[in-house]
Amino acid sequence: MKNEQRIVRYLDGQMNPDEVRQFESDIEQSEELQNLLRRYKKTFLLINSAKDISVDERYFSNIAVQTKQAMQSTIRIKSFPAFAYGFSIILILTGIYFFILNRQPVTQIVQKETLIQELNKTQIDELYNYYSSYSDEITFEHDYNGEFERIIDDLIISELKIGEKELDLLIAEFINGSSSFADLSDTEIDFVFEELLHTKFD
Amino acid sequence: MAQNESDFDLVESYLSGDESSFNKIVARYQQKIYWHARRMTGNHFDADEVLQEVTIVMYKKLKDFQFKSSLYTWLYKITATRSINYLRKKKLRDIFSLDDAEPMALDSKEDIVLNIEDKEKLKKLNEILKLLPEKQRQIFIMRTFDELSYEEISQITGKSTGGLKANYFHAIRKITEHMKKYEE
Repeated sequence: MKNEQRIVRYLDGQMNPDEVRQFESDIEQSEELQNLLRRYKKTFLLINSAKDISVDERYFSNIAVQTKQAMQSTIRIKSFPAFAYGFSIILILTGIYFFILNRQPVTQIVQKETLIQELNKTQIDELYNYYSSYSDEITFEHDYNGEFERIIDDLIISELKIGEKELDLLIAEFINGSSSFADLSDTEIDFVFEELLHTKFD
Repeated sequence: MAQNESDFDLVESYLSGDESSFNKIVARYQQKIYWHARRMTGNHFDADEVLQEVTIVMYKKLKDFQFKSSLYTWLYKITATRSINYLRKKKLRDIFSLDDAEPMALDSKEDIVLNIEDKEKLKKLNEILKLLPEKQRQIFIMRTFDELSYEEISQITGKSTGGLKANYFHAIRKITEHMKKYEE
């Protein structure tokens, strides 16, 4: 781990000249370090190869114009009677809440859920705290390093997939087309996520 | 007009009524915004949406911009937030999708990357980036592709440089581990 950290610091240009000298001298004396460095260099090469991508420049010729057009359509949406807009959001959120309270028991376990079940209480708490606080300074020291957000998202998706049919019917009653979700604000999106999390962890 | 007009000059000019200055600001930063969003979302269609969203925010909020940070940092902050929010909204839309149809193949549709070799490179990169949780991916992209310093990333994300370095290390390590498995 320590050697890997040194290699990444070296390749990322984080080392000062003294550290570079010391590191390069260590490399010469260690075959293991040389192999590790070779492996990491391969990663950097692969990443760097995807840096310069040529594109059809015409796309960028009228972004400002497209923006103004998009803004006009946004203004049209906003002119929709406020009460109807607010009412539909309340209906959607009520529907989601209703679904959560009346959720069908779990009858089908998929691989990701099995993984979650294997976590102990402390890990689950840590997972939940990580997700809900959105603290992303990822310095965890255990096996689930860096996987929290993904596991939680997968869990939420798995939870909802279990009741997919019921959910579809319920949502269909409240939403006139799935695109309505595109109009939810960030705060409302947060609310939905939080509600889903609480049903699993509270 | 001089090519090296500063961001400050362009913003001032736009605020005093010169609409073309806004276009110049967009032209200056649109590729950076697009590519950040594209690497975050993994396809042109979603990157296009994010770019439009960011440009709209820019248009609406530029009048309140007071140069407490650089325009560049401000735009990156908007782009970073919008990209993450876009991914989360998309995830929710996928969850609540009313049909079981497979998601549309967005990689190729009306893509602005035309060269087959470049498409392959991007495909490979997307596979790798998908391994990383969204926020880790974002920091990795800012450092590797947007070529921002840790101090700049810290200003944008509000995270400590130490945390960012640890984050970057874990990202690289995970990608390298993945490549090793792939080779074996």
